[in-house]
Amino acid sequence: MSFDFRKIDRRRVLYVIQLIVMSVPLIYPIAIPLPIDKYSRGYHEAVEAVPEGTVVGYCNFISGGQWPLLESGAKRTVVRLWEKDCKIIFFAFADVGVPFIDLIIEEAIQIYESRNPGETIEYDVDYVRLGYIAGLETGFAEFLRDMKGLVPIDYFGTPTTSLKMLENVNTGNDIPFMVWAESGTPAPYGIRQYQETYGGTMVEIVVGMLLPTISVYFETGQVAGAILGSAGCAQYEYLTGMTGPALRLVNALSLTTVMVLVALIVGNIEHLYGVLKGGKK
Amino acid sequence: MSVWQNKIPGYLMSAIILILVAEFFFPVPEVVQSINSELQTFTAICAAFAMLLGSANIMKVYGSRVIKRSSNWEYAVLLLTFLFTTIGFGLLEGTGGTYFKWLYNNIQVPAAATVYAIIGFYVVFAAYRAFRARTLEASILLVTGFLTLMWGSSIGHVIWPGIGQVVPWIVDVPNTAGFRGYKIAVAIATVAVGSALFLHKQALFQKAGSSGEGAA
Repeated sequence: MSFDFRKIDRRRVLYVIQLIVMSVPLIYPIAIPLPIDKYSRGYHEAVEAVPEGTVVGYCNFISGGQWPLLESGAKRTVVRLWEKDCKIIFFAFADVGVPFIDLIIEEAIQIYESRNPGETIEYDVDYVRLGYIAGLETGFAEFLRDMKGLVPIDYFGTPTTSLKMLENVNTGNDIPFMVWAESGTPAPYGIRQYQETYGGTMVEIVVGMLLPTISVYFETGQVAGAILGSAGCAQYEYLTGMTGPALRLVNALSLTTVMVLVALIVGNIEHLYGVLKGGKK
Repeated sequence: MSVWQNKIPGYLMSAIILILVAEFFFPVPEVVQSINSELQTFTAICAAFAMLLGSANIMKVYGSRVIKRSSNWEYAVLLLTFLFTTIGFGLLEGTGGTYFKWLYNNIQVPAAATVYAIIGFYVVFAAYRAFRARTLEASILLVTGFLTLMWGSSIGHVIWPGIGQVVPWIVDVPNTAGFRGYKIAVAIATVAVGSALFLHKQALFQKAGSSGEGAA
């Protein structure tokens, strides 16, 4: 009985190989050099340049699918800003982003307190939460024009006019630094409404596939820096000295990318072989 | 079409466009700024109500599937069960409540992450089966995609250190040029559509679109 290779289900073979390729670096970490790109470096430099005590806006679009890729960068940014005594206003223009603000804050507090023993993070002193704000671009424009008018109560039902941290904060002019964490769809309206109108510094946390979009705004200086996917998070972990899950994940994703490249090469060789064979006929 | 159905909404829309655009380009009295601010708040409120409408729509579509026992109606039951459970806990204990958060963190987050991760497997197979150099344009896309992927993975820099110079050039020069061209085209088209709406000439675009001539 002969074995016919052509009858093998290639899809299943590829899936099995990929599963092995992805799993190995997660179980046995491999030391692969980590280059630091200009977007992560710009991001790190922008965060480090924020003056002590600055009011910072943090808009979160990160949701379930992208959470494992971007959570590390989001949390470490918050920790670094708190270490600079910044006052962070958390809000979301996507409903899915709100529960993840809970996770970012809870875990960022743990990291902060382990790095700074004896110091604590307090609501209405170090941060406030404004929850979900509807209206996307129009909502954001109004938010920056009259924050307390658009959002009369915070996430916990407290009137925003009674929050001490927001005493002198009501417009985009009062927020000199903005962190914009996107999940998948590019939303340049953040840049349009905040950076272009009020001239503040803006940094972004985005998935890697948004590189072509972000680079355009990075080159003009409208975005001071960006964390691009898990690779960007790993670079930020390295730059801040706060090692974490992204450095482990990036190796698995790196090898998966190699798998995609190999699939591309093999597929195209096969295609070329078919064309040449057909040509001979 | 009656005046109420066509003319009045049209005039209302023109007035709103005029107020919003005027404030952007000219110094306007405080009363106009207040109207503008209120209009933007209305938009946020309407958008919030759209969420409610979306939930009602899900209930209608999937509820009818369950009642009619359409194909895969069991999934509709599951969806509606989770919808009502989540809404229930949200109303009872708020979105910061223990059970609401447990549902979200332990069901929604891992499920969404799993679905996203599965894409990785499809991408590998798609790279093998579909991403092929069949034409010149496809070949350019293939080479660019290949190099960008290689740059995005840290091991790519080990394989070929020169990737660190080549890909930033691709991203900064041809990509930026193409992206800016596209953004300018979209901006001009948006102004054209906005002007047509302001002048109540949107029928021109509808006709052009339906005859396949392109809208702008």
